[in-house]
Formats: sequence, structure tokens, C-alpha cells
Amino acid sequence: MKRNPGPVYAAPLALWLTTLFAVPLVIILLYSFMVKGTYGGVVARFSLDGYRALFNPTFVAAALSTLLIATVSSVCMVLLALPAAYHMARSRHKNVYLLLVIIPFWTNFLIRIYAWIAILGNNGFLNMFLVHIGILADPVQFLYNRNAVILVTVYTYLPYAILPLYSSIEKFDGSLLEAARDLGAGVVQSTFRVLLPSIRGGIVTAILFTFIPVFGAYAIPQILGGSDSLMLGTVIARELTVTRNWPLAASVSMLLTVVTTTGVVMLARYNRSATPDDGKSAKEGSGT
Amino acid sequence: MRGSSIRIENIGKQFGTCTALDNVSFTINNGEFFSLLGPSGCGKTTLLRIIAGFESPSNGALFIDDVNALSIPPNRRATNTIFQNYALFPHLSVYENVAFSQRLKKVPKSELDRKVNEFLDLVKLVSEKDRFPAQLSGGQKQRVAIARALINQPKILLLDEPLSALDAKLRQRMLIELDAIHDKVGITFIYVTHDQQEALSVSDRVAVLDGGVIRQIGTPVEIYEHPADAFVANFIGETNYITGTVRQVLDADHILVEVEHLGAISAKTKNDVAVGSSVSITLRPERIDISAEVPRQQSGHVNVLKGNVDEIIYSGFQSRYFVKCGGMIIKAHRQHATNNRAEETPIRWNENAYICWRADDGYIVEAVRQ
Repeated sequence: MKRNPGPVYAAPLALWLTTLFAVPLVIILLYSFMVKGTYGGVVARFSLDGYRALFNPTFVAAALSTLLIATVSSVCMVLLALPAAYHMARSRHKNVYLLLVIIPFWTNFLIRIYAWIAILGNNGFLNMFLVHIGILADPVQFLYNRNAVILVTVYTYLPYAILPLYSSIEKFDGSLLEAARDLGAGVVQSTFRVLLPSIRGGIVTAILFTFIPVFGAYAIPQILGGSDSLMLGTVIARELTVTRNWPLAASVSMLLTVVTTTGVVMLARYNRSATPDDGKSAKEGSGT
Repeated sequence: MRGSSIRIENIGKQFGTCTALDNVSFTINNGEFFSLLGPSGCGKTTLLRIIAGFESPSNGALFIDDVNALSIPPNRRATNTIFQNYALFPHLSVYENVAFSQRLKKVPKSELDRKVNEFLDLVKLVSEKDRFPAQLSGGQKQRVAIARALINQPKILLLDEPLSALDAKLRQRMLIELDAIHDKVGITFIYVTHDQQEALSVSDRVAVLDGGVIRQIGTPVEIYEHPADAFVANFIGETNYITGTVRQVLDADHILVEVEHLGAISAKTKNDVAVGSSVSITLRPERIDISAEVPRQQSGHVNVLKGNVDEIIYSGFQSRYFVKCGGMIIKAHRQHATNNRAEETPIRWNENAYICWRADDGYIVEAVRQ
């Protein structure tokens, strides 16, 4: 009998995930049902206070704002990444383009966010330039609002949309587009009827890879956001460090986890239902 | 006939510094099964892609039914293509693959259903209509591709090495089916292949290409029996290739050629060839008779050579003999079924044998170094 060594290979990762992911998650879940301690921490007594506070209008507004920012950013990223990834995958200079996409990661994330302040700030390059050439009389407030958060979020997470799209377009058989054209489809029709359905897996991955991190974003809204761009990540940090309401921070965390997990499961299902099942392949050679 | 004629005028195509097609001109008739035959890289696929509209030529003109077709995009040309890798849409079922062009044309539901079933029936795939391409065998994929192209009612069907991905037996069967479909739909077929057997067996006419140039256009019989040059003779079927100097003109269409180490042999020629010029003779192995004993005297110009049997390859219905004559190897094929020569002395390896052919079967393909 052949032994299956799978569990042995999976053991290190299983241990890692159990101790550093599953156990903390359980702790957060437990904290979310406890009572807040006076100076932070929790008192081990069952309570729904953490969840009750979620219905507070401020948190509802934050949740909706988070959903809006994450959705708009994610859609913008996929729309921007599609043509870019298509061009990259069809180019002779694929590797150069891939390098260019990855280069921003060489600079620290926070430094890149602060760099945007230098560009978009009231005394930033953009305002100075626009005032200088006479388009603006006075500097405009570009920063500390929802648009600034979305702009920088799109900039930051764009590679996460480009890379999965690139890899699925690269595997896409270009002759399918020729076949569509041959059968009477115009450029737009062949894109929507053949290209996009064929790279559906890549599109779903790109949405997941951008929506999930943006949904839990903290640094960008904290640094560049304003009153209209309160996000759940910021709320968690505030409850944890300033207000010191740990059960509330834990319940917001659970909300994030539930929303993103539901999203992942739904998209994965959608993706699977759209992919034909290869398991029941016909036997080769039985032509008629 | 519901097909179209095609006129290709001086079409050339350069890819960078590389010339894929060098000013090619010819005409394909309405309803013809026309093959473009040549080794890989000869320009045949480029020519097909130009006819389909996926590629535009560097120069020249293309007329479909006497209308200039070069300005028409591929989705509006009267052509449909069977791609080498089938290019079936993986996300669509067999039915939807076939229905693709009809859905674009917004054909009403009931008519669409009737048409799709009609063409699935043509390729005997009605029972597989709900499957996806990944669940089909190679032959079935091929049929879907055929139905998907034909439902669009093209006037010209372009086939780009359609059978190259199938195994030998299936290839034979699909070839026969393609021929039957061609007879049934009556449109023009342009068939690209590197396989001379495929081209010879189904085509009305064949164009042999090499290096972006047409070497010969003709019926399969013309191309096989009367190759225009040494390339065609070598590419189509097996041949013996003998080079020598013209010694004497025997009569209106026969000459005597002096071949080094081999002696004088007579051959047929269409053109006038000057005494003293170099010529190449092509001689099909199946036209050479081989025997262990001296063959009986025959009338007309007959060549008889004595040689040593260097190799015998038995392949069931025939044997192939490699006979060493005066330093060169001459290939001779002999069918077993047709020759009932039990009383004859058998031909043995490493023994002497006589090869014999009529001068009319040795064909001058080119006169080199005049």
C-alpha cells in the first residue's frame, strides 16, 4: 500500500497557522463577548456590549464608508489593471514590465504614503505646479478626504490586481480571439464574450487580492483620510489604543473577518460554478 | 456551388527582414478543394492568415469573387477558419461554441436551435452538445470546430493543418469525412498542410510552396507524376535523384544521359536539352522493377542496371530495396500482392540484382549549369 506523506509535508504550515492564526482568532472571538476592563483589557464575563456598540451610528457610518472605499478602489484597480496586464502578457518585454510592477515594493509602504503628501499637500508639487501655470489661483485641499484615500489605495494595491490578471492572460490562448473575430465578433464583442469569460479566474483573484486588504486598511485612511473616510481599521486601532474598549475592537475585527470570509467563499463558489468540470473527460480516440 | 473564387495577385509578406511570402500569384476556383503544401516555414500559414484577414500582406492584392478583400476585416469576410489547435471556447459548451456566430447575428431562438442541431448532426455530435471542450477527444474537438465554422455559412473554409493533432488512424477517417463534407456543402476549401499524403489524397489541386515561393500548382497526379523541379520531386513522395551529363539526343523526347560510375541511361524530356549540359532525373522507386535474374528484353527505351542489394526493408504490403549501383544507392519498391512470382529466384541481401525501368518513367526535372 502506498503511504500518503501529505500530512507530514503539511505539518509545519498547520502548526504555524494554528498557533499564529487560529488561536489568536479564537482569543479575539472570546474577547468580543466579554466586558471591557477599566484601563483596557477585558473582564472575563459574558456580554454582548461589543456587538451592541456596532449598531451605534458612528460605526455603521464607518462600516459603510469602508465598504464604499474598498469597492470603488477594487473596481478601479481591476479596470486599470486589465489593459495593463493584457499589454504586459502580450509584450515581448514581459520581464521588464514585471520588474517595473514589483519595483515599488522596494520602497517602504509608509514612505510611499508620505510621498503622496509631498505631491498632493497644500504646499505639494501638484498644487504648486497648478498655481504656477495659472490653472488655480490658490492651492486646493486634495488631502484628508475619501478621494485621496481611494487614489493612494489604488496606487498602493494596483500590483495585487495586475499580477493575477497578468498570469491568467498570459495563459490565455490568443487564437481564441482570432476565432471569435473569424466567427463575426467585433473587437468589443470578442473581448466581452471570449477574453473576459476565459480569464474569469484571474479577475476574481484580482478582486479578492485588492478588496480584502483594502477592507481592513489602516495606515492609508489614518494618514491621508478625513472625517468622510473613517474606516473599520482605524476604528479598531482607536478602540484598542485610545478608547481602550477591547471587546468593541474585537467585535469590529470579527465583523471584518466575517465580511471578507463571506466574500471569499461567494466568489470562489461563483468561480467554480463557471468552470467546466474536467473530471468526466471523454476517453481519447472514441471519435464517433 | 455556393463557394467563392479567390485571386491572389503578387502577394508578398515581410516579417522584419524575413520574407515569408515572395510575390505569390494564383487563382483558386469556386468550390475547389485546394491545398497549400510545403515544409514548415514555407509561408503557407501566412498566406492562409492573409486570406482570413488576420494578417495583411506587405504588398499585393487579394480578390474574393473579384472584390478586393484586403480592406475587409476578418469578422466580415466570407471566410471561416479551422484552427490548428481548434481554438474552441473553453467556457462554452459544444452547443454554445457552434451557436457563437449565430448569437452574434441575433438569429431568433427557434431558428438558432434548428441550425445548431443541423450542423451538430452534420458532424455527428448531437449527443455531445452539452459537454465542454475539455471533456472531448481530439476528433470530437475537430468536429466541433468544423460545425462552428460551417454554421456561419462561409463561402470559403480555411483549414490550418486541421489534422496535425490527431493520431494516424483518426487522421485518415477525418480526412475522408472532410472530403465528404466538402462534397456536401460545395464551398471552396483551402487546406494548409505539410503532409503530402493528406494533400494528394483529397485535393482537386495542390500548390507546393517553399521559401515563400510557389514551386508548382497542379492536380495531385500532375504534381506526383510530373514534378516541376527537384524540390517538388523530393518533397512529394520518395524519389531517386540521378544527376548526369546529356550525351546524345535519341529522339523527339528522349535523351541519353551519362552518369558517373553508372553508365548511360535514357530518360524522357519535354524541353530541348543541349548535348553536354547537366541534368537531374527523378525516378519514383515504385516504377523500378527489381529481379534477381536478368530481365527479359523489352521494346522501347529501357534501362537495366546491375547492382548489389544493400538493404531490404519489408513492410507488409511491399518491400523496399536499396540497390548499390556504381557508387549510388537506388531505391526500388515492389508490391507483394501484385507479383506472383513464386518460381522466380528470390532477391537476397548482399547479392546481385537487376533493376530495370522504362525511360519514360525517368523524368528530367531541371537542367543545371547550362
